[in-house]
Amino acid sequence: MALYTPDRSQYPAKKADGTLDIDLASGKYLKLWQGPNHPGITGNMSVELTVCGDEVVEGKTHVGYLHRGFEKLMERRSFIQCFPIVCRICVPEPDFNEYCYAAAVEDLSGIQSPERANWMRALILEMGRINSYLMYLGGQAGALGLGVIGQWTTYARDLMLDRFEEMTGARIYHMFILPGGVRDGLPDGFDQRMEETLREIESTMKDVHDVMFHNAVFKKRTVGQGVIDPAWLDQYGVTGPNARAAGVAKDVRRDQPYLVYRELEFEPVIGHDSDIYTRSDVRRRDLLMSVDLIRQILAKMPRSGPLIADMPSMLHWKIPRGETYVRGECSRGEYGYYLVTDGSGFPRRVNVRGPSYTHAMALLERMIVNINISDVAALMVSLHTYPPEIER
Amino acid sequence: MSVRDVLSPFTAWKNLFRDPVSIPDPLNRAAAPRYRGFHQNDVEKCIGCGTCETICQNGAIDMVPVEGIETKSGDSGLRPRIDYGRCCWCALCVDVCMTKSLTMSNAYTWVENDPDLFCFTPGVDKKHWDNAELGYHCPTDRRITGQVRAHMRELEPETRIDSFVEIVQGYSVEEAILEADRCVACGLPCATAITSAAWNCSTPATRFPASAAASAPTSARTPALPATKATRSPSAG
Amino acid sequence: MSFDWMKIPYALLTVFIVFNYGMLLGALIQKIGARAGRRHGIPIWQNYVDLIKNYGQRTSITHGVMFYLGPVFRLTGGIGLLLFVPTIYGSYMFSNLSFAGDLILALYFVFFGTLGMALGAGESGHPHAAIGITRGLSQVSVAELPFALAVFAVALQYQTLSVTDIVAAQQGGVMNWTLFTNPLAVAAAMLAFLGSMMRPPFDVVIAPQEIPIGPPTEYHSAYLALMQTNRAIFPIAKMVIYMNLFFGGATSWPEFAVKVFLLYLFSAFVGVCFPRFRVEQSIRWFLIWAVPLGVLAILWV
Repeated sequence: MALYTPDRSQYPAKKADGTLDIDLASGKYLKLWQGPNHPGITGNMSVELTVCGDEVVEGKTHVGYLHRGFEKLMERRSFIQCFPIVCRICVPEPDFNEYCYAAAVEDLSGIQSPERANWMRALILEMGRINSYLMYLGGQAGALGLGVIGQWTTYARDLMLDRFEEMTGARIYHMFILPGGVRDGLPDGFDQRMEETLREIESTMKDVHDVMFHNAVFKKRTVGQGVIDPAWLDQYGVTGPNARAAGVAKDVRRDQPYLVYRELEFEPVIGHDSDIYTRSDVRRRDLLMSVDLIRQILAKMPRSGPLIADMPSMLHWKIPRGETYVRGECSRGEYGYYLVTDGSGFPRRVNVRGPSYTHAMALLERMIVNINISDVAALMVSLHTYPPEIER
Repeated sequence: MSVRDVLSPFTAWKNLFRDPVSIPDPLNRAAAPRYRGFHQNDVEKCIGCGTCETICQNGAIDMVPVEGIETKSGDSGLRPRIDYGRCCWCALCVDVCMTKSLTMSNAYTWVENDPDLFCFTPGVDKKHWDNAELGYHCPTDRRITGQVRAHMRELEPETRIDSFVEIVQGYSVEEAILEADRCVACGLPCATAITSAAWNCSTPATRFPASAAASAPTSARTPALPATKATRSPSAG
Repeated sequence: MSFDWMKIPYALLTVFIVFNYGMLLGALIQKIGARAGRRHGIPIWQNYVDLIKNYGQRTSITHGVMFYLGPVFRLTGGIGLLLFVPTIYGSYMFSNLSFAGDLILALYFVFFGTLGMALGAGESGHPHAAIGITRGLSQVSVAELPFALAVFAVALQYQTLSVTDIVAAQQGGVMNWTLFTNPLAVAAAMLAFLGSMMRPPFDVVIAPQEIPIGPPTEYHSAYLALMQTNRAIFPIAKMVIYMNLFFGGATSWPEFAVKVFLLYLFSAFVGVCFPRFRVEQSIRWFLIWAVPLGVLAILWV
């Protein structure tokens, strides 16, 4: 078709130090801020775009709108007092913070969480993963104007939040995985209600598949868009579905099994085209895998036994000198906690490795160049980033 | 792009005649039985030990004097006042509560025009959820203040028979600290404590630093025992 | 030339009826769309609440005269369009100010509001508004193309530029409607209709996520209320034209209500199921799918 094809020759030349030679006074370029108050941005961050016509020539990410200094706050709180804070580092999927923090503390203090608690933890992490993916799917469709998907997935997520509520006592910040174990067992009749919820989610996902993934316009906007070159994966530290969509089966659950993943049957979902469409599809299939994992966990988990290990008094809890790094596979990639203790009652240093840090900063800035400004939102969402992880 | 890609999206309309699932009245939805909602405090059971104040990482809890509750042995006469502008409902205060008097109801709506009213003393300031049955309660068998007493070594019976060595071996420094740490350092003269009621246990860790190794074992023994009882007695009674 | 002054209050009555119908219909369509999303949707009177609230608010900033005139132009476009097309065929009261050749005027009015918006929002100096306008104008222009072709086809077919005469020619049975006498023109026009209704897949102009939400970002308070008023009137006025040109017009208010509802529903029916095209994609889409249909429609005649 001899129709409009963008002319990429008009882009600015590079200066000697590698930066772009952009003369704003020429009127050829325009600075645009996408965010921090913008529906097309994932959370409280912003992207400073330099556009030429409809094409982005440079994008710079700006964070700091959400900076509460979690890591520093934790240095002045006792080990148990850190526990209500960590979940705030990632709102839609807080459980990984709780798990990684608890696991790091247990690792350094030599505490073993009981078997049943491990199963409970795996259950809650998979439930959180489903929540996170459901939110993502709504966001990905919504970034392209397909609002109905978000309405369905919000309903499905709401059902899952109900399960969270009856299990943990809260809908968003569950604060359930205490260092040493978990707070409580399953409530009565949970299995049955969970099964109903899973069925509803599966039927919703079938609808989503029909309306979102078999959609001419959606394909038009996403196929071939926002490709992550597999060569970038190691350079940029890309993990999780972003890496799996590029055909690399990176999955901490399989590579370094934690909790009870050794006893569960699953195969990491991978895609090949590495574009926005493939990434959405990988996440959709990963969600269905989590549904299956929850069924396996509920079938295999022990129903009696201790939920929390014998703990020293947490009011005066001191952990011997040491350092550790604990990781888990969250819905966005590898989630890790690096914890240093010095024998006192407070952590010496906590460093949170949120996958969004690499995805939303370095990777996004590279990928955003030369795309249409209408696609910025879809691209950002497709990397599945949550800003609080960037600026702990 | 196929015909299916054009037609398949229209299946979204199959929901047209299904019942909507959104909640028509979101204001009166009951929370789950375990929901961590607004605090309740059984002021009769509460001894005002202040552990909730200590553990609160938001600094939301202050111990305040309450009219009608006298300071007496085993009761500081203070009750926790919670600032809901700071509270994050993590329920650590409920978990740590020595007498299990502090609990959470599953109520979660409270409307007030005066923001200062959200700083309230549960159990003392009457609220509509005071008698709520459901809500988060810490399981009775769980304590986050150390449940297991550090084991004190004793001589084996065979050795004891023909020896005059002290049977009870006492604690090492580490064990003593661990055991002493189970004390919540509430500062209340414990009614059942065997030592003087005037003895206030401050933070045991500072009292017995690990560096003071030589003299520690003997002196550590005395406070460790009452401290344990101080922690336990309220729940027993 | 004698002018029947009584026509003016009657025309205003039409505007009043259409306005209220538009307010309720807008909410109804929202509710129907919400059902697809498994929601209850907004209360049917929600639009009135919003409108009254917005009319009650005043701005405290200034962007220049043209900025303020933008919504006025927009509303003028909507009301003007309605005033010059016969709403109810055969009714003296509701034939409005139509005259021979009014079809050309109607075409002009369809575009008028968008131009007004462009001038007004452009005055605000906000880059988002500028992008929104660029997108809006390019997309509306290209969506207008098949519509214009379809209109020419219809005008050629009936050998008149008077909307009243076109409606008259379609009376006497469903088979006389343009829908059946010239289906190609109708098809082209309906595709153009999708493009002008600001619903997916052609709503990148007002897309909240994809950088600009266009003029609505800049306008607020009573200006927004003016635009909301227009949003109640303008689509209905446009649908009146469609109804008159292609679907046999309406001889009574109930018939009007049903036809307009179905037309409105058509845009929602497609809009709920698809995401949106980028501007150049939608231009391409119109050029490939809608314009040839329009050309064929003219050739057919």
